Amino acid sequence: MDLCRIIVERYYCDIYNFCNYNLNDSSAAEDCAQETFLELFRKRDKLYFTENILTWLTLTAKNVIKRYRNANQYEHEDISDYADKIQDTSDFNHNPMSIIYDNLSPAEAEMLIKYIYCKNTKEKEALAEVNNISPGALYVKISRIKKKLRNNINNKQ
Amino acid sequence: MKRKVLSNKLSELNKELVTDLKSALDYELEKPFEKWNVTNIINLSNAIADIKGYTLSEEDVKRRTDSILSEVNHIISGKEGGSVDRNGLMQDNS
Repeated sequence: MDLCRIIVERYYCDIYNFCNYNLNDSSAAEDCAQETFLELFRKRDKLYFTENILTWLTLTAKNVIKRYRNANQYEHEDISDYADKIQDTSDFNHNPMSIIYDNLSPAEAEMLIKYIYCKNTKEKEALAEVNNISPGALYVKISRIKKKLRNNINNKQ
Repeated sequence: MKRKVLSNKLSELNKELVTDLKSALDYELEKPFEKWNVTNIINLSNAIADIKGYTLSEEDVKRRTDSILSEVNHIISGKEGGSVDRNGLMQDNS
């Protein structure tokens, strides 16, 4: 654990600044920097620590940023956009909340709404903790829920 | 008055410097991975953050380190909600 701390403390600023430059968003940069270090520790058995850790971290950060961008390409899309998509072709209630509930299971809808209302990384971490999963797993789960919502909405069009 | 002129001049110089550093960094990042000069990339992004005043405080680094180590504990104790597939992508086990 001491080795983990040394590595994070030594390279955190480098990786965070790299992420922040690429994303231009401090909160997203914090998420991606964290995910980069978690990848390092997930693969600790396969990595040769004699190799240049900074190079490995930087290349991993680049991939994490790419995944983050792909997963969050609809992040800033307002819920009302979903309503607009449906408005022209469906005859059911146009309330954005009902769109979420009608196209997802109750548990998924509840989690997505809670996530949307998270204002910062700390609140997202707290939401992950309440659901007894890591923030990384929450992030993956939310991406899948959003994808399912988009697919269901598009199928109804 | 003199101080304001100097301050404006300094601000202009900083802007020019950031523009130059960004050009240099973008040039590096446009290269394929294999040709990246990682040390240069990190030095440039650190320099840009420094000039723009985005440098993290020691408290920030400590707080974030603790947060990451807490996650590492989850991974080590096998409590993580997801696992990593062979492509390095996180998979949801729930």
